[in-house]
Amino acid sequence: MQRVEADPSPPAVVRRRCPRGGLILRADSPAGHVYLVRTGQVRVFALAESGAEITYAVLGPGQVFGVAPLLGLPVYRVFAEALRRTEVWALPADRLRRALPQDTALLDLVVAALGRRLALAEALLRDVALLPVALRLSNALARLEGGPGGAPPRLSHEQLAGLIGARRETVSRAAAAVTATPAGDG
Amino acid sequence: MAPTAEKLWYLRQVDVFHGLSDEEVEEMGPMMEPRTFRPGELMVGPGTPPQRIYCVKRGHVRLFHRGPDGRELTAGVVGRGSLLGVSALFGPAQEGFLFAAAGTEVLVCVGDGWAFLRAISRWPRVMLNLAVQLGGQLVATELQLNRVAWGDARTRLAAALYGLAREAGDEVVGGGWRIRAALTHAALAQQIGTTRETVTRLLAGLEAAGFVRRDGRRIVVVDPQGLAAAFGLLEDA
Repeated sequence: MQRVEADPSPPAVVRRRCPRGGLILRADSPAGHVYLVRTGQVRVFALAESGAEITYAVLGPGQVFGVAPLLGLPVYRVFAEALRRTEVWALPADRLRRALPQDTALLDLVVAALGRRLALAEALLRDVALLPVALRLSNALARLEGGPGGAPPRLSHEQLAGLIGARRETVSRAAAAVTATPAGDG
Repeated sequence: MAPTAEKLWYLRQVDVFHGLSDEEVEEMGPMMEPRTFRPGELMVGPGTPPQRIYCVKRGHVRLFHRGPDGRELTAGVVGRGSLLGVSALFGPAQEGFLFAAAGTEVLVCVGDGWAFLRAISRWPRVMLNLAVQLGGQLVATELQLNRVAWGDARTRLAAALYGLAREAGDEVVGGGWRIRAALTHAALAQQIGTTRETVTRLLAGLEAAGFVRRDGRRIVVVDPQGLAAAFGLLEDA
C-alpha cells in the first residue's frame, strides 16, 4: 500500500492508495487508525477457526472500517482488502478521539457510517441464519449491485460463500441453477 | 414523582444521554412519549410505526430476526438504558428490520427517529456515546454472524450465555453472574439456531465443566472470564 501524503489539518489524515488485492489492515495488529473509504471498494472479512473467510461487508466511498480503537479495543478484529484500486483515509485514533467531541460534522459522518454498517450486518445475520442458500445468494448479489463505489465487485465463488455463510460448492451449484433458469421462469 | 419529572428521570438513565445537563435532557422530553408493552407484545415488527426510536426505561426487550418460514433468531436481550431503532434509520427499507418484543412488562420513551437524531446532533458528547454504542453493536453482530455461519452449537451457546450474563445479569456474591430472565431451553435453542434437545445436552456439558450452574429456574455463569477464554469470545473492553 502506498502512503501518499499527510494532511496537516486535525485529525492528521494519511491518504493511502491501494492496488487491487492490497491488504489494508490485518486482524490482531495494533489498532491505531480508523479508516474511511474515499474511492474504490474494500472488503472487510474475518477468518473462522477452519480458515474459511467470512465477509462482513463490501464498502465504498464514505464508509468506515477498522473502528476497533474507537471502542477501546487494542487490536483489529478484521482484515480489510482493496477489491479494486482504492484510496482510503487513515485517521489516527488518538487524534480522532480528541477531535470528535469538538467536530459535530465528523460525528454525524461517523454515526451515519456506523449505522449503515450495523444495518448491513443485521441483514446479513438474518440471511445467514434464516434463509436458504439460493435466497442468501440472490440478496447478496443485489446488495453488491446496488452498493457504493461504482460497478459491483467481481467476487469469486469462495468469497461469495464467505459472504453468505455457505460452502463454495453450494454457491457454485446455486449460481449454476440461477444461470440455468429460463427467462420468465419464476 | 410527577409524570414529567418521572419521564425526565428515566431519560437521564439512557446510556447515550450520559454527560448531558438536566436542562439539556429536559429539551428531549417533549419529543418522547411514554409507552408500556405487555410481556410478549411486539414492539417493532410488521404493522408497527416505522423509523421510531425507543429508550428502554424498565424491563427487558428481545431483539430478533424472523425468517419467511416463521423461524426466529434472537440477536440480543437489552434492558434499561438501551436505545433501540437507530440502525433501522440507516438501512435500506427493502432489507427489512430487526424485530423487538417485550420480554417482561416494558416501559419505553418512544419518538420519531430522525427528529431524535437531529436533536442530539447538537450535543457532541451524546453523538459520541451513540457512535460507541453503534460500534459495540456492530462488533457483537459480526461476532454472532461469524458464530452462526461457522461456529458449532456449543460455542454459540457459550457466547449466548456470556452475552446474557454481561448485558442482563446480576453479580452473585461469591463470584459469577446470574442471568435475570428465566430462560427455557427452547428459548435458548431459538437464540442460537439449534434444537431444544441439543441445548439441554450442551448445557449439561457446560455445567459439568464448571462454567455455569443452575439457580432455580435461572442460570449463573460462574466464571465469565474463563468461559470467554475457553471459547474465544470477545470480553468487555
